[in-house]
Amino acid sequence: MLVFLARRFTFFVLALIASSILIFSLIRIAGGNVAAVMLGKAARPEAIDELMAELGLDRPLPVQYLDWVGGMLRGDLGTSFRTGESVTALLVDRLPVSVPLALGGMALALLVALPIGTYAATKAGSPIGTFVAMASQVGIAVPVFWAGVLLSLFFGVRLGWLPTGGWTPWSTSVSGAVQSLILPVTALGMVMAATLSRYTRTSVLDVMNEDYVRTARASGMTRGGALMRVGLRNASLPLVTVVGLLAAELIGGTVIIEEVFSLPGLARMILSSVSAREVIVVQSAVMVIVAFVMVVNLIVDVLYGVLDPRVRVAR
Amino acid sequence: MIRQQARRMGRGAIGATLGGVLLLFIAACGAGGDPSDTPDESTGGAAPTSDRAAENKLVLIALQDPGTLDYVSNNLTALILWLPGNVVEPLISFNGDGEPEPGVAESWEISEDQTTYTFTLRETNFSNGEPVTAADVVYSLTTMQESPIATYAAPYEAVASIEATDERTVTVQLSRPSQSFFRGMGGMSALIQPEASAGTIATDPIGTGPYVLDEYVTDSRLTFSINPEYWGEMPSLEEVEVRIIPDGTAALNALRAGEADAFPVITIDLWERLTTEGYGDDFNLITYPQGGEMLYVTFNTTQAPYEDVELRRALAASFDRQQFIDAFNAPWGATATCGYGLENTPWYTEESADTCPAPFDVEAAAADLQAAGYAGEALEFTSLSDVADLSLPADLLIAQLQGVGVEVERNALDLARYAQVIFQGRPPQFGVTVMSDPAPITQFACPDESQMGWTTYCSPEMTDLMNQADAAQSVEEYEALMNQASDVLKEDAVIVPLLAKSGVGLWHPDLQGWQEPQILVDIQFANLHW
Amino acid sequence: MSTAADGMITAGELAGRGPDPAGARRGRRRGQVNTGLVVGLVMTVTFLAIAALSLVWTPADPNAVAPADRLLPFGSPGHLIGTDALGRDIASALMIGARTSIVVAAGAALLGLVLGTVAGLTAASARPFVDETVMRGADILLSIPGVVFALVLAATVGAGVGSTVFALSVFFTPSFTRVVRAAALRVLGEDYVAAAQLYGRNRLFILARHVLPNIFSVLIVQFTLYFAVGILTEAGLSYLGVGVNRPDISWGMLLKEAQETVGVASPLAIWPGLAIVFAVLGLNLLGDGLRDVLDPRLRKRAS
Repeated sequence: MLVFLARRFTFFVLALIASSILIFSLIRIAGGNVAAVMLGKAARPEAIDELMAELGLDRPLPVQYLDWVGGMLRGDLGTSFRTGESVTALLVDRLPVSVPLALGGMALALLVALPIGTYAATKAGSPIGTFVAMASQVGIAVPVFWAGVLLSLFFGVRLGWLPTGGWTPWSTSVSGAVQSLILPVTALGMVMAATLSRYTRTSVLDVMNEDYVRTARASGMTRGGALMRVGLRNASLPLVTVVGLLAAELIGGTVIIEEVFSLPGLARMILSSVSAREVIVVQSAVMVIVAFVMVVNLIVDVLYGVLDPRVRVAR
Repeated sequence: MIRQQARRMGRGAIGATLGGVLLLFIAACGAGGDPSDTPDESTGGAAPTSDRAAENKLVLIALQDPGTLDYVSNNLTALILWLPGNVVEPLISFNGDGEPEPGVAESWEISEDQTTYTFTLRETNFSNGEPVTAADVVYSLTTMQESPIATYAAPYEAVASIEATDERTVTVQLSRPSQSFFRGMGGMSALIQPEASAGTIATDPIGTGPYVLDEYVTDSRLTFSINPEYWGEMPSLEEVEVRIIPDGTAALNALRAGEADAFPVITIDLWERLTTEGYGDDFNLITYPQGGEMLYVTFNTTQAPYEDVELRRALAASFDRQQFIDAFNAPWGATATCGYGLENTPWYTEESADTCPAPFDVEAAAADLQAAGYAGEALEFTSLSDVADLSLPADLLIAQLQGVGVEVERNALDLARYAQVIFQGRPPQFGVTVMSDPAPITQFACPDESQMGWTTYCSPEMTDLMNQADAAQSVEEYEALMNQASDVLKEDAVIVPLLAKSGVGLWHPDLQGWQEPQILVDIQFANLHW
Repeated sequence: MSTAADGMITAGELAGRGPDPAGARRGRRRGQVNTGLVVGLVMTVTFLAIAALSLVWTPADPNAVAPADRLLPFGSPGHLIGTDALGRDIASALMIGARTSIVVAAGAALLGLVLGTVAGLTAASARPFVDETVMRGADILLSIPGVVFALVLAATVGAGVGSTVFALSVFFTPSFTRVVRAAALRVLGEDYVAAAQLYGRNRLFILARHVLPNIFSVLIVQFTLYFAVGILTEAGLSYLGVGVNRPDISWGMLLKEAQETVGVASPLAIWPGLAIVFAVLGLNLLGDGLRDVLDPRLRKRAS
């Protein structure tokens, strides 16, 4: 077990280094620079070079990379070129929007998808089961921003129940913040639920045909009972993996939802920072997300080791 | 038997599900509504009373986040809209008739030979309570003189020295008379800030204006409240929030849902919806030339084949300006023009599509191209991909160019790459592009070939006329010379004007006191009241 | 995009570990399998046929502007589905959009498939060290959210068809790698492979002769499903303004254009959306149906 943990952790560190190099190179080979954006169309030619030098962007790339990584190791994520604010402060502003959005979306997806997927699996072949399966098929086919815009039109404009978009900070009003999150969380959660319910259905269907469920049923348990007592625990294992993998996709989904609902979240910060070529902000923010996903994966893997002894041996 | 049954049920379920999705869609669509179909509440009259009227508050919508508030080294429209006039003020201001009025400077004196300007400062404080000193003014002007933004630094071209003669007097010495200097003192080039707060200008700019910036949350909002130190009449609105909503549909939704009271600057891609979806009935649709922008095509004369004036003139004749007006379906928003001045430009003369040296004529353009050996010539059209205001015109322009028999390859770039390739390339690397901005034509001047930029036209004749105009002793002389300069630009078809786009905004009908922008495109809050 | 995680790869396959629930439809009755497959096949063939037709014929040039004919309604003579705000023919644009979907989404899926197959087979058959390296590389790529990756990439190479294909394939490859590796490991564990090894067959021969044909069905299914994911992701990128640009036309771009100029409730904004739902639904049904039919273990069990 200790060896397994040590190996897993070594990989985690190596992966962080590799992805930092990847992220750095990716944004640095992008054309355009922050000075060009800041100074705009009426910039004096020599002003660009001066500004680049002032921002330290004229140094060799390896130096800039080491500077960035060194800063991160000391807990300094760098500063925005345009406002001089620290990236850490920017993240602190953005996380109270993005984290509840992502967690809420994931929770809603699980809450909807697990029962529905399980139900669809037990009723596979019946009209209801087929309907649920089809509904999730159609749900998957709907682009997420379309779902968002429609929800906003219906509940925001038509019924006037909820804000169409925008953000009320937690500090101003907790209920306001919750209200501005309801529609985005719903849009994100529903689209993810469509995907997740298919996974659930598949996993449960598989488990239902496993020998231990059959044995349980043969020993007199009802189908549902057998499923609850033996099946779900086993089906939960691949689901843990899916949840881990969906974490990355969930964050991707928030980019679009934050744009549709004008939420000042992490994803929109990255979007606008990419277009302004705020390279340090992009690098550090993406790195934070990647690190988060990797930590989730690390936890999932460790959980696997705990839940399923075979994994420990295999690795 | 069982198998067949299951198959039937499967099909039924598919049908039912698809039907369900369609129903949801129809329900939601009824919401956004095409009010011409649903003449219930929307066409009945104006929007309901705003929730914020009683509290003397106002919520405005902006599509773009400035990202920084440093107005000295950024010329982003998203910033110019809100800061000048509200938070920071120029030394003086020019009213609608072009007459100078006091600002931070209470009075001024101009020497006989028009080379010495003496400004007497108002006895007032910045919003942080610190007094406005001559040193602050000298600092502010010098900072702008050194601004990396060429148009901000331009009025200082003839300036020899800027000095504080005493606590409340600043003297500017010119090396020659300059019209643009005095004009510049009423604009972005003369915004006054305290030297002590220079370090926080990007997030917390301080000024003497009627409002003070309370909070700037990037990608979310800017909030303003009354500046207790303001020297003028206290404004009526106690709090103004500018909410940043990047998605046009979401912005209109917020307005419709009563979450905001005005949408002061609306991009052309949304114009049509203002009338077809009835926003113009519920809100006051205000168009204002002063907040507008020129839309023009630029040819890169440093690159073959665009150095050929015959080619440029022939291509200019392919631009069908009326097609733009038709395509936007918002004749109230833009006028076809061949001139370079907006209505608020001092030397503005009325122009239309008919006053062009190369008016629209497909046959003539095609024949000229044929004759000059350019039929089937491959052009590179560089367009900005992420600005709807420009990608829509680009769609039209490319089709129009193709219509006279040239090949067009479109090179769509995002703003950062566009800025690097086009604005900052020396010489610039592009063929044809379309741009839109409110800056005066002095930006097209080109003192020498090495400075050749993306919109500069290095014609000694034009540059000379502009210099003479600047040094003019009288306003009349200045205007006449500027007109001559713009005629040169027009004849040579380097920068071809297409449209004068008005500023377009939606305002709550109960909101009074709207005033046209004075500093480029600024939206002033001070006179607004419920 | 959250939907991008989908592809109906079962959890075990994706993870390449734990219990393997592939061949999910064991509990299903045959009749249903065929319904989904047939409906999916019909929808997909329609979609492909329209795209193919657009190569030789469209009702009009979808980039030709004609403000005089702007916003014609559905069923107008000469413009069957009407025209957009600049008077461009929508039917033609939708047809070309189908073609772009194939180039972008199928292109990316194919590229991801080829790269993923090479990487997956290498990982499955090579030494543990290589296996570990390849799979951990895939893990790293999977940790970077696909949309963020595509965003940065669009800024790097510029928005457009080419960069969208590249971005999507980079983001598909690690998933394909995992699936292929898991499937290949399963085949490599079979008795006949052990027999071939005893026979002295080299690794390449075994991979080409035994493994590839046996995982082919998995590849087809994955390809179909990622094709669908590609269409959705492209729409999302185009919505953010970093996808396809004119003169190229994609459904996502049309949806974005229509939403801005005429509003989301306009019929103009519905057509491209319906086209996306139609194509994605068709491909997903086809992929699921194919899985049920093609999965060799399903056949084995059925017999």
